[in-house]
Amino acid sequence: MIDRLRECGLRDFTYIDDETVTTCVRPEELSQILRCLILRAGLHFSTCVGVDVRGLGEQGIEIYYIVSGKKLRLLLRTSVAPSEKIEVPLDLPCTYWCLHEARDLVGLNLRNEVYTYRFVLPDSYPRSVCPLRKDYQYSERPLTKCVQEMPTRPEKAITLFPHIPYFYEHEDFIVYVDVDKIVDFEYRGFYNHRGIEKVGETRLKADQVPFIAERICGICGYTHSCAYCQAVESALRIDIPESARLTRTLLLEVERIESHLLWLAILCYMINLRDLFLKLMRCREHVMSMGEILTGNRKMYGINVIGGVRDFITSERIEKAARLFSELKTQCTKLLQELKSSERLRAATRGVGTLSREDALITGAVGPVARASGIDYDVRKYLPYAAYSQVSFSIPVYSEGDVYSRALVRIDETLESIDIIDQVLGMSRALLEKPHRSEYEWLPCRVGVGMTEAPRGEDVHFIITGHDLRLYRWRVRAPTYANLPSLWKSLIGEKLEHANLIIASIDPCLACTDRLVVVDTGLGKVRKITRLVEVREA
Amino acid sequence: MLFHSIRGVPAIDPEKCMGCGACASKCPTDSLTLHRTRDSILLELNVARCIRCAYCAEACPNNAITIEDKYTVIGRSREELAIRVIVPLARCDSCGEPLRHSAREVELAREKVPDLNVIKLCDKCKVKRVLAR
Repeated sequence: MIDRLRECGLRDFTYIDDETVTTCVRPEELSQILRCLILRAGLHFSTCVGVDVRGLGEQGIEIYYIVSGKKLRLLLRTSVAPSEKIEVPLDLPCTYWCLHEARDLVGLNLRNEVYTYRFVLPDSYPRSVCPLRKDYQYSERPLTKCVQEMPTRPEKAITLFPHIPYFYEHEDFIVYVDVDKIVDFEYRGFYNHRGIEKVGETRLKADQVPFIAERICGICGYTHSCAYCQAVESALRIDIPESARLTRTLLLEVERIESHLLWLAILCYMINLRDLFLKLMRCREHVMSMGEILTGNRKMYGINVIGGVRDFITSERIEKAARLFSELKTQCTKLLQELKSSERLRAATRGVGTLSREDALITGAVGPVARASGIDYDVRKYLPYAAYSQVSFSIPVYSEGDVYSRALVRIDETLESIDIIDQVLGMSRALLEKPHRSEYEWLPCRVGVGMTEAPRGEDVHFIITGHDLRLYRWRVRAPTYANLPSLWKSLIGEKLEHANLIIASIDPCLACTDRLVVVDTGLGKVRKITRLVEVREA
Repeated sequence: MLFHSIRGVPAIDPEKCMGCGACASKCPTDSLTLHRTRDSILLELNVARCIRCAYCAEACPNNAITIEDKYTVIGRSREELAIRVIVPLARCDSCGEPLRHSAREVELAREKVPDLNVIKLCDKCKVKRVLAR
């Protein structure tokens, strides 16, 4: 693998841990190197992170590009002088979002901006404010003015509905249609700047961050706290005990089943399979109970700490969970087989929202979306973490790239997860072995990356440690962030009636994804779709 | 379906708490706060803020905090949901002024190190005693 990196013009590698390699690159070479790495060497672009390095005694901004491949994670480090401008590689849509995020949050200068409006901050945020700069206090509230910066397209009479930042993560999916064919698509999200990263960097200590990391997502919270703990463990080179690895694997898989069952249930609801919806939700309830028996909480397990897990899991809890799981297994497998052979599912989703392999590569799709398009990228196999190197499982890959194959990927993955849980519960003696956590010493100025395979795809946490048990920089890249750009490729050219299904097929947080504005290019009529399932006239 | 293993509201034993503040410094959400008055320490638990992480129970050196089986918490206002524990401060042996440590902390220190009568003096009395020697 290192040879392939040399071919792309990279030199002087330093190892952070066994799998993470870092190297410095000049800003002007970057686009060329990224093109070579992604298009020729076939690596996966995870994300990039902008860091204000003035607190570390240097000048300007540093950008870390995280690129991952089989058994190798590459960190490209670039120093950008305050006046220097970075070029956005226009043929690689996967880099757009994170570069614009760096522009908004740490004040990076971009040469060819794709989004001229404020991208990850609300429109009302003043232009001069970059909240993740070190001279900006976390308790500061900028004076906001209600303006709308996103350019409206006059020829198409767009009406944007008022945004009510009531839930976290409000999103707008704006679809331009010609009669019933989708001709263009726009996405605008990030209305609520919650500033979790800033809170983690300033207000909280590093050992309190796992709790807030767990609250990033309501469905797959545990994978976030795992990724964060792994990032710190890789930065400080902490070796975690065997029992902690197994516990994390067990709970991550419980979470995956639960998340996939929710998605499959909602899919059934959308294609009018109401009986299966109810059955799947009932089955999911038992999975939630399993987390409850094992850790004491239905969600937000609160069990992860840096260096391992806490002593919550006892032998009687495992016995109880195993008893519940043996009942659940047969029920769940039967249901999933029934869904898989359902004629209605095939009829409603086959050939809808096709995403080709090339498009999935350049938009940086992850998780079931990528695996349905023929990319076998799965962090559990590529960069094994927790105890995934000790259990045997396979990665379902389909090549059609439509909604049907995404559903099949998720069904197969749930069945694999059931198998993994069986294997881990069989190792109960190793699971209960004490201690569950290892001691560590805090060291400043270390860089670490933690990746997990969340139910929705690869989840990346990047940290730089600071002094006194605090973080200097914490960056979270949730899987939906990487999957949303693929909608540009899969939505355009499809029929309007399938828009709901295609947007839902990447599994965005459905509770947050609450409105979709439809603009009829011919009539100039606007329709609004709420809750992704009902269509009504505005 | 409720299991007894679910984490509930933390309960603070007022007999055991010694007002050291270990729980308050560990709490990730600031639901446990320590206030000092002239002659006592007030430890307040805001149940509405608590996320039931049980870090406080782990941190407590005297095992005063336990996680109970209580799950429903109802109140009309935030004040009703607060659990307050008042820990009296130790008093100076000679003048009776409150010291910086709580009475229970001093007791515990006495148990551990038997020869410790100097510590129950306030700063002024300490100076006086040293000068008198």
